[in-house]
Amino acid sequence: MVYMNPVCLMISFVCSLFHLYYIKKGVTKSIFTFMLPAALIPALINTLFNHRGMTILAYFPSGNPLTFESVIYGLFAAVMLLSAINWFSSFGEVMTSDKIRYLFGRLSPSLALIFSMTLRFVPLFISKLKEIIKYQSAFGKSVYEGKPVARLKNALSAFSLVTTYALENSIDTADSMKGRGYGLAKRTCYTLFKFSKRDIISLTVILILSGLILWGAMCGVLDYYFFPTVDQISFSPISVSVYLSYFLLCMYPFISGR
Amino acid sequence: MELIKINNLSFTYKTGQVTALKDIDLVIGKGEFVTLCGKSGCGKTTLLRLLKPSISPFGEKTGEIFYKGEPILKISELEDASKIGFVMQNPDSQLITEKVWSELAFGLESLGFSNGEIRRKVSEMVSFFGIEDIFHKKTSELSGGQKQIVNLASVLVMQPDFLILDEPTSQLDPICASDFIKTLEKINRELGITVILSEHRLEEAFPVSDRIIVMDGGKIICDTTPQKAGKLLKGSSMFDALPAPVRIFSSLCDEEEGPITVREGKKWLSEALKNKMPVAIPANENNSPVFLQAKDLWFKYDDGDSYVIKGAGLSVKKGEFFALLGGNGAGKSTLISLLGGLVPCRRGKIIIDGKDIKKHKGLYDGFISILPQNPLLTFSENTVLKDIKSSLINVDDEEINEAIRIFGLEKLTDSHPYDLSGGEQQKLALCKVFLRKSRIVFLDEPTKGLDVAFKKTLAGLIKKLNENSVTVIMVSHDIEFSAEYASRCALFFDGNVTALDEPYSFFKNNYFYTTGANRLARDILPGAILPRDIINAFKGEGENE
Repeated sequence: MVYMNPVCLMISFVCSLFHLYYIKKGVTKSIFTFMLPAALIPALINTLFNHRGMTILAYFPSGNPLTFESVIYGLFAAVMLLSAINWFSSFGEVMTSDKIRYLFGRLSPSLALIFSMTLRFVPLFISKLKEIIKYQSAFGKSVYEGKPVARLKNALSAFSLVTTYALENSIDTADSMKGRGYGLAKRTCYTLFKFSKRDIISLTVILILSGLILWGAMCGVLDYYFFPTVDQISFSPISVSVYLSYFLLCMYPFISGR
Repeated sequence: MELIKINNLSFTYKTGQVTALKDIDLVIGKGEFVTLCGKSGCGKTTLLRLLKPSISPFGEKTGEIFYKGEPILKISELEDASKIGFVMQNPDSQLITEKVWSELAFGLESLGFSNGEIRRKVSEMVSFFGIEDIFHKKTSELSGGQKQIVNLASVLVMQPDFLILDEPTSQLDPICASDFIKTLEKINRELGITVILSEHRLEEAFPVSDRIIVMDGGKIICDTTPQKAGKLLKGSSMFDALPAPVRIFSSLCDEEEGPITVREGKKWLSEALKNKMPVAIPANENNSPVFLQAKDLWFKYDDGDSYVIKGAGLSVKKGEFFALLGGNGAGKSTLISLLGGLVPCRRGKIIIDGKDIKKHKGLYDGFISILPQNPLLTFSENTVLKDIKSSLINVDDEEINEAIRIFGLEKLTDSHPYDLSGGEQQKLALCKVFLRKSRIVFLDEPTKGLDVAFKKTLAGLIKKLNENSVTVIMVSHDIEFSAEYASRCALFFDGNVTALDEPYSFFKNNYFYTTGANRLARDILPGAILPRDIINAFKGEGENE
């Protein structure tokens, strides 16, 4: 998805869809209801406002040309956008808080602890705020009914209440931490994962494949121009091997996950 | 061998002038299981916290505490953290991290154990407790009982010698509470860890304890075995908190040692009472019109969720005290929110006083009052007095002062609501609800954290409301309270109201979900659900002879 090369873009797009399907056990409706429009609108806008390119298909009423190149460019831009969304939603599914903790826990155990405490605190804070708003209305302090000034006052008071609540609870939490020896020795960070032989192999494979692609990119194998006219797609042995590496890299999570 | 020795200990908080502890002398032996009980605010928490220096309160302390023969303040912080485990009352606030597994590892991480050692100890702990299924879960997804088990496990993983628990079951329903106490018993019996536990509900704790210590006003008033506690406490205000078998036995017999479990009580009772006779069910006729009617209620929180309330229907008469029982997480609190108009139901109809709830205006201006399960949610000001006044309209000072007196908050009017003890916070929230003078009152777990003496006062207040034809609907898992005072009871199960009946018929027909006295006397005195039924039957038999 990084290179504006049609082959790479298509590989990336197909693989990202494949992974999303594999991870989420079925593509969700949101791909069609949200992602497709979200990608097609920029494509349309590009077609409408980008007038570069040699092959003129028609003229707009304003007199500006509609070019074949800008249509193609818009479509591939949409493909790139969609793949990026797909890759990030796969990333979100795969990189759980446990794994992030593993990555950063070694560097700084305290940072890992803060991370974990925050993840616990924020949802708790929000759900308590909702509860307070709900029950305060039974004591005549509604956020939804009454005069605007009174409602605003009640909303502010609800927020101050939830803050007090959180602070008060944090005294207990602090006692609980102290009672379990927080700050007594140099902190370690327990994680669920081990760096095994399989991880070394995976890391090596990923590094080699990435190296190959980077080398190809630096040699200009992946260069591709949409303007002024769309390039021919190169299928020389070198470029095909780079495409293949790219495909293997994109499919690696699936291959190694089997 | 003694583990803890307390000599002549007194303690005063810096802020208050009241002495929290007075002349405490106590010895706890290695491997003992000690239960500490007493009214709320009697100094239990203070005493327990003084046994773990890292979380001891600040204040004026005289006297000495020895841990393994050494003054407790001289033990190293490392020993304090790993060898003395402390579990608090609130299951939520003592959790620290997002996931169960990181929670279990927290203590060991603090002490700097390596990954391999932590892995071994944590996996051992998880297997001992059998909590593999929740190991990867988020702590916020657990039920109250599971949270408390995780709190216990994350203390035990550091392999303590001594475990202190401050009312750990007060927020749990009776089934979870009983499971928790069973777990403590297992830890005590199988691992030999010394346990000191403070408790309000003694039905479960009594049979597993080696010793019962009763406190009142900062003093130890009784230190004895569970068997002897009944006779020693006769006439004291703590007597009503004792388990049903103990109470019944010591009211009727004057022997030194009595039964403490239902099994022992049953054996004694069947020998003592020869003539079986059913208990007369007191007539309880209420011909008042229906005040609240709910028809076919359906509710879920989000579209994707499954339904929590599934076609529940209910009709409550005017001036009735209706009790809805059921386990935690069954959806009782949700039902209260629906009936009280706090959230709209997805389907169904709620009619209060002959009118659809959606058509009522000013629902909370003297028509409906609601007590949430968590009293903290009702507080909005920084002193108790201001907090009470802020939630009221048109109530004169005299009436407020009277209520403050009844609810025992006189000395606390200038305190911050958050500084009160759990029981006092509950009283404050109740006080506000009662002062709002509504025509229908919803109470969500009103007896939580209250001692037996105040429960009686509360029952009296509810009765007074009923006499003024105020309808009271309570959801609770306090079986004993419902059995004694409610006019009708029902069980809430699987999103529905089932088994609706008057208390005597309700509990008589239940086999597991029933009062201690009913379990005890089920075969001998069918229909007895309260200790006083059994005691009366006894006395009646005596008169006949």
